[in-house]
Amino acid sequence: MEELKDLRNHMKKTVFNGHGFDKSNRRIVHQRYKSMKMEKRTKRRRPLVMTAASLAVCALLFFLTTSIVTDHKGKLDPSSGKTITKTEMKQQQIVKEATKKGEVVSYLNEKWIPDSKTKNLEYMLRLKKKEEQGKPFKTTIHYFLGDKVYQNTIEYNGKKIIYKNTVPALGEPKTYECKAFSDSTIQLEGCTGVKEGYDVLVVPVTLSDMRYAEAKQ
Amino acid sequence: MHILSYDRKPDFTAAMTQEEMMEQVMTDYGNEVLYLCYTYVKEWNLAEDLAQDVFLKAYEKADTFKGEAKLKTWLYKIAANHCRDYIKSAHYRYSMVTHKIQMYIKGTSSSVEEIAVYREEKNKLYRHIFKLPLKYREVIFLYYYEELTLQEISDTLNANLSTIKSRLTKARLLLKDAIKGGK
Repeated sequence: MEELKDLRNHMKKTVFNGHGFDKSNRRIVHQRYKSMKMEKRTKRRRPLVMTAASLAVCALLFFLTTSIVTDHKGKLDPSSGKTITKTEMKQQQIVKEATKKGEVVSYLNEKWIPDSKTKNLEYMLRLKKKEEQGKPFKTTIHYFLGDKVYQNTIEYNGKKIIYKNTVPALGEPKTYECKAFSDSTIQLEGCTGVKEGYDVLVVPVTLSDMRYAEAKQ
Repeated sequence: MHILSYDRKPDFTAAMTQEEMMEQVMTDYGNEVLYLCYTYVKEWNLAEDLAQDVFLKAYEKADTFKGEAKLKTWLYKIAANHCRDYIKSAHYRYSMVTHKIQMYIKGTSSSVEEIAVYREEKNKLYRHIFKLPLKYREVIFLYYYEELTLQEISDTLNANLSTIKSRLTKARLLLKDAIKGGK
């Protein structure tokens, strides 16, 4: 691969030619930083009275809306005193059962997928370790995406990992047979039906949270 | 310790404001960070946005820079993490689908000239590199383009040294096959 040794020149002459991080980009960064700092400062200076007043108005509005909207759908939660919807009730039930069994519940965000709950990461890291030691396991992962609830199963039989995905946002919903967990994230590699080098996402996480969970273990 | 106390350039003075220092950092490393982001998203406007985010994070985290690593590697680490996180986001996945549809519609109406240029460009090395899966592409770019050591790549991507070595070997093999097949 002699060509690779001259990659820098090659890229500069071809794909990177005419592109750069110019003055306008630099100006935008300074402006964004200044406005960010400004925003933080104004937030700090906001008078307490104003915050209290807006909180009171919000609480009143929330009370009125929830009482109108949820009266026919949900009921009063005795522990918190709040009205909860049917979906929330269903989700609470799933969380309760999953916690009892020690299973992962992952809350996916429609806009920005990574779910960085350290508890989940620690659990998944334990599974990863089991797989490395050749110990079989089987578990269900529950996903909440808006009002929808999904359940994926992941099983290791001592030889391969069988992962059943039902969440379209994570990849094609089907059953994958995979060789191992990928190196630094909760993904599976060497899966059947997936192009070589591409991984299958199990629990989306940010790398910094992953490192935090790894350090905590 | 300040972010730039460790920089390779000796022309920073104590009288420089944080803004001036960041301006210098962006002048020195702006292009490199932008190119790194481009290798992830393969789209210039998006790469510019991501590079801006990277420098904004560097601005914010300036105090956490310990100087154990080079400033360059520290910036690459922020960039790699930010771009990988972005690629995983649902927003990116959605925009990729829209982009593919647009390209398909555009592709059906390509002129003869455009097709000829595409054919000529098809065998260029960078095209093969951009077709590699992300984990191989980033290693090739950091090793051959940015000329980082394997240890530095391992730190930047938060992966074992042995993993980086095997990814680099695999990437070279895939590239070799792709070039052979393309010719």
